[in-house]
Amino acid sequence: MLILLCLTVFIDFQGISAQTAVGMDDPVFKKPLLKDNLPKDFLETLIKMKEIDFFKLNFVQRKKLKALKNPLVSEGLFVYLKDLGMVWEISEPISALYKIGPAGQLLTDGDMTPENQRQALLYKEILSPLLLIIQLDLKLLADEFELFFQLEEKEKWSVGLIPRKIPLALWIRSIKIQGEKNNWIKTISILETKENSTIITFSENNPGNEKGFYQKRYFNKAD
Amino acid sequence: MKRGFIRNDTSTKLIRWAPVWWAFTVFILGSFLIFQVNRGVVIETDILKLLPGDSLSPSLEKTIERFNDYTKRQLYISLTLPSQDKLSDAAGLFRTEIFKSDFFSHLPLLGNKTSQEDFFKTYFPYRFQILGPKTRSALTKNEPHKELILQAQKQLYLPFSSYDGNDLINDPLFFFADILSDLAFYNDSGVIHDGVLYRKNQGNHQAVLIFELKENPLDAKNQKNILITLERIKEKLIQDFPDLKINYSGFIKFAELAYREATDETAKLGLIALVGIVSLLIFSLRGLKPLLFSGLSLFTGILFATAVVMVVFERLHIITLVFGVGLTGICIDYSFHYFSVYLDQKDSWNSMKGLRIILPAISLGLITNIIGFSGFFASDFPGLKQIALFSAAGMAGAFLSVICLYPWAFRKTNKSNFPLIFINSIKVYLRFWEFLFRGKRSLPVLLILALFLTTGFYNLRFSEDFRLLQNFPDSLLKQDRELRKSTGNIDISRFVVVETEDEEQTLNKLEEVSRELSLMTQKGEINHYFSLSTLIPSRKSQLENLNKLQELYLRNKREFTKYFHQNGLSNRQIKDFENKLLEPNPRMLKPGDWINTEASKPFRKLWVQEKGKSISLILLGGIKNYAKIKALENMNGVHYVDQVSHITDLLKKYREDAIKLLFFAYLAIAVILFFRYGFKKTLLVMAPPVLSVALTLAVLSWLSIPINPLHIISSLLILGLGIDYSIFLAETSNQTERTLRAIFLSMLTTLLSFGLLFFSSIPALRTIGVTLFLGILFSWLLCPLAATKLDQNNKKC
Repeated sequence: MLILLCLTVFIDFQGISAQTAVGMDDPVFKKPLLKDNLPKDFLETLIKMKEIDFFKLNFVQRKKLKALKNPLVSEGLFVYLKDLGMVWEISEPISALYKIGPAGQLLTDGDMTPENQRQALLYKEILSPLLLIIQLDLKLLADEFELFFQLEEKEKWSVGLIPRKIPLALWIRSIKIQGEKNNWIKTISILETKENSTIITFSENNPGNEKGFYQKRYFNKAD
Repeated sequence: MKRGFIRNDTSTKLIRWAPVWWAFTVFILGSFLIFQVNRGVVIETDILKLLPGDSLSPSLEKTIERFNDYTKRQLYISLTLPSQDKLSDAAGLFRTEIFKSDFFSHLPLLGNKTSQEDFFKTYFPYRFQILGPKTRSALTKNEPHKELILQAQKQLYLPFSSYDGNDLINDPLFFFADILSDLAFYNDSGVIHDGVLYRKNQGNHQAVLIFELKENPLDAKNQKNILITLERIKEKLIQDFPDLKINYSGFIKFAELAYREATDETAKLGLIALVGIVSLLIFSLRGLKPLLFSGLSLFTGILFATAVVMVVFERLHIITLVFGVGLTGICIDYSFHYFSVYLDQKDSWNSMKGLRIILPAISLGLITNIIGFSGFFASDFPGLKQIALFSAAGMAGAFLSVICLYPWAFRKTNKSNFPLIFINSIKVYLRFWEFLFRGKRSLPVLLILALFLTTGFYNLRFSEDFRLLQNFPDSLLKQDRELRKSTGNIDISRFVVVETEDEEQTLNKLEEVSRELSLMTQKGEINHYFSLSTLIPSRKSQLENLNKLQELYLRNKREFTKYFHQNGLSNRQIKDFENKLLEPNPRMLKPGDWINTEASKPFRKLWVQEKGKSISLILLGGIKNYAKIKALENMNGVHYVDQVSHITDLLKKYREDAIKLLFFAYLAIAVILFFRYGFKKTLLVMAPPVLSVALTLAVLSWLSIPINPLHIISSLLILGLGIDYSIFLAETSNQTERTLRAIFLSMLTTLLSFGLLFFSSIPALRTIGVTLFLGILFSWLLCPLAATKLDQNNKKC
């Protein structure tokens, strides 16, 4: 997480060149999102997303670094609690917990609180737009990103995002979100400005513990 | 007859040659002044520069002065737009435009690409010795190797993180990234990119840039050129970005405003005073010639004063210039006494004789004043020194002009008379004075006076709040505060200084103080601090850190290697890492090397090597517990510098010392007068100026105006003028009316020049104005006391 802080200091260090599969040549980035042309199913998903105040998904994250032969693969649980924020709990290959508050502020950095107020503020600058992605709030997203939309096949869609503002634009070149009806977001593909890419694939989490459990567990708050 | 002839012959020669000497002296001094003005005169506008320096060691004092100079050269620019889209373009264009002029150099905030490379070049080779906060914290854990590996893994697997694969190979435990996190102290309120701070401000987007002025911000010519340049750039940018709002702040803006206000007001009030004085002189002296020569006396006085002060002092203070206006009153005194005799004597007029009549009085006046002021020149206060020297030199110049020019210029007999209204007014006043102080009638007058003084002095309050003497618009102060806050909110008036005779010792001490400050930060006693200990740790700390890491690596080599393999590092890459970590004679980062790196540029002012001393400043922000910070001084070589309270203390000392000096000045004058007049007469001569100052202070007290050091400095001029009035009367006690006419004219002109300052919008000028207005008025009202004849114990005017 420390590297996030150094992001603004170090981001341009090695220059920018290559593209990957989720890069700007992806077809989604050829089609700007026009609200009037959005399919009904997708609009319904957006409305549904606004109403959802809790969900949990398993995730598998594949990070491809140019300097390494093999991707770095991790997996864990992602929990979204509308009023409290979101949690990334990595279970493999290491155990780490990242809690992000409702305004995008980092509450814990792998079981450690941010060094100080300044660091927390910086994290917020980077993380709050990402919270909007999870919430799929197109109106607010349009302030932060250039938006693109593509209907891939029936009930499957892709949203492309290109950051407009610093500091996100320094770090991320583009983001592609793929989803489908009733299944919200399936994958998030991130192309970083330093040629690295990350693909996060979400899958259904087994039924079990519900909202109250996670509220208590992560935010120590009763339902 | 022969003696008279010789005297006449000598007089003729004197009359002929004296103006030539005067012209020669004026030519020399004038040329010197023109030369100085062309070189660039530095007008000091900071009221605080009237105060003496710190009582700290000279090297420390110099360090603080350098730091203050550095902060004074900073210029803060904010560019505000409703959206962020074009903000970086606007910031880029602003920078391009500003560099077209040669006044500025950019002070990049961290985040500038060049500074990133500079930081990399400087610190990457020392990544095993200069450790960041998380590495330091990991080393304190039970199983530090596991903690280090876990921290690195957390960074690798963080859902949203960014790093380069090459970073991972060269620095697989992310030590350098951790060092950088320690340096990111600026970005309290926004994000820094390419040396510019971007932040949100009241719904708008703002870019903040800092520049350093290459030129002296106190130089009036520089101020004007720099601000014109900024306005030009502002106009150009607004053409390209119509919604753009540009604000700038910094010492130069305040200095320019203070200078402009002071010069504008002095010019405006000076013009009104000039018109008033010229009209008065034409009316009273009946002609243009006396007016012209009064002007020449004044000019000579000011020329002498300015030239002498510029020889002795590097900078001319604006308050000294204001006193220059007041010097009019004293300088012109000598002229008026000459003209008073000139207008009085008709057919019996002899220009040299006229001079001889006034010479004892004006000489004694000059000598007593110079002796009185010399005490102030010997003080520790540069402000008092400058004013005292300015006044003494000015009076000497005016005196010389009268004795050199007047006997030559006014050889012909005068036909005019003093205006009747003046003659009658003086007569009425003298009768009133006689009436008031005749017999027992004086008793109630004296009682009322005593009561007024006692109650006044009883309620006298003092104030050392220098901010009351400055007059900056709230909007400007608010804007300055906001811009400074956005770029780190460092308190430039309060800091901790570490000073020892050895650089390693200073670095050790810096670390010790930084540890204390970290604890205070945790307890909320200060918001933050910045110490060079994070940028240049001591050799001892660097060695300790390196040894710890080396031992840790050797003890847990297998686990580290496993982690490296897991993340794709080859054996060769692992060996390279190991070789670098275990290098037998690693180079340590020393202040001498660090100071020459580009990375040190924004922080260099915090490290000083001066006369065998190694000194470093620690900056503080948001101090809440001053006592705790002050307690750091218990450590050897540590000083807490609080410039605000220091100035308040200095002002208090200034006031107290000025009162003492004023007392000694009166005493010195009294001693001289004692030899000429004896005890009783000396008391009578001294009484008017002493009472004038006392009454002035009492009136201020009655008006609930607290006394500040400027009131006391102004009392100097009351003394100068008051003692002149008294001596002139004492020396010409058989011609009281004639002398009083000259004094009356002098009083009116001085009131016109000084009294007008009473209407100034600048608190400092207003303070001087009100004090002198009252003091001079009282000096005039009381001066007949000095003309009292002491025969047969009867006081009689």
